[in-house]
Amino acid sequence: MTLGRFLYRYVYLPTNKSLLNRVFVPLGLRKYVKLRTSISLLLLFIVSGIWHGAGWTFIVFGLLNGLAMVAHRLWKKRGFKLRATNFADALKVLKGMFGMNGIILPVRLEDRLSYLPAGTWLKFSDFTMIDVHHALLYLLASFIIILCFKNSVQLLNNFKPKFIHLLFSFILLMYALLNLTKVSEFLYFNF
Amino acid sequence: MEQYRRWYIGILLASVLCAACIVATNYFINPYEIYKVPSIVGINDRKLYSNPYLWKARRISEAKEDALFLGSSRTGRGLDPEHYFAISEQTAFNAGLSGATFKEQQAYLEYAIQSNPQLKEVFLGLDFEGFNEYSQAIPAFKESRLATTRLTNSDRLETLFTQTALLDSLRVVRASAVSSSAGGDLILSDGSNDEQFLID
Repeated sequence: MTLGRFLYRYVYLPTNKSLLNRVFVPLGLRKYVKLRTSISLLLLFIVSGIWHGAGWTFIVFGLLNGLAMVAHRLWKKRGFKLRATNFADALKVLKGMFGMNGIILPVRLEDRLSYLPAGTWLKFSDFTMIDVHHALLYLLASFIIILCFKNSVQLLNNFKPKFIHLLFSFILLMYALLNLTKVSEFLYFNF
Repeated sequence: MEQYRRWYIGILLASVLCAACIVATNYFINPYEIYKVPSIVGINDRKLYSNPYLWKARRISEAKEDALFLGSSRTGRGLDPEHYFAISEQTAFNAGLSGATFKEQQAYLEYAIQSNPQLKEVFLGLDFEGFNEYSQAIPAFKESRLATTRLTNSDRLETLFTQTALLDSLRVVRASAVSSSAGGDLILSDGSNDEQFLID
């Protein structure tokens, strides 16, 4: 099975189905396909905005991207065509993803690896993660949760909306909202 | 499907109601004294002066005093607007800010000139540390706050809908109920420190 088919079968289809059954049908939007697509797009981009960092700016960033996508879709539906997007920007992102902007090694290794040609491709610098000890603990806890418990798709199969879920989601939502302005934002420094 | 509809309405209603309650609580308790809400003895009369960079900016633009004392916390502790009124019959506000260098003081001076046309005199508290150009930036100092005489949206959000503001409101209610200090140095509404508190 290729990755594309895997993603289609295990990520796209269940998400799409559950979004339809659990969000759009209860809200009475079954017949409004175009509206549904637009809302899905908007939600997708808001979620990816939050994924980029916890902060109001990222939510607005996601929302703006989503709005632009919706506008683009409506525009295309009307028969207008846009010019192909900028290739230089795409290349920049791809370069960043594959580490072609250079590699940074910890300063500690500088003496031992001094024979390596340090320059634009290779730098010795401080580790950007400050609390390594706690990060490792969190990684360990994450692995236990991921490997030993059911994942969200499996949980979704037997899911029934109960009061306890409502309370849990409500508490998490309020806690997250109340802490949004305090949490520091992070940015990719290599992009 | 009915179950899901109820669930959505439930969580939406609970979140909106809870958010409205939090905003209303922080507005009426007014822990940093920046909204025009009456202070009731025993409920919210003991304010928290933990963010002078915010509330002193608000006071400068709203109270419109004749004179202004600028400087670091030494100015805050040393100069008394009440005494100044007794000798000059001019009202004054003590805008001493802890840790402020001349960069921050200049920003507050420009803000005062812009927001208060009645300002007649400004007293600058000279301070050795005020000349320290290597001093670290103060997170509480925000230039965007001083760009307008109105309350900025980020300050509004920070004082109405954050966990810190909610906890501070509760602290003010608790301190008011037993008539104790809500925390930090006890600062008077004219911006100077309470001498009695310093002696105690």
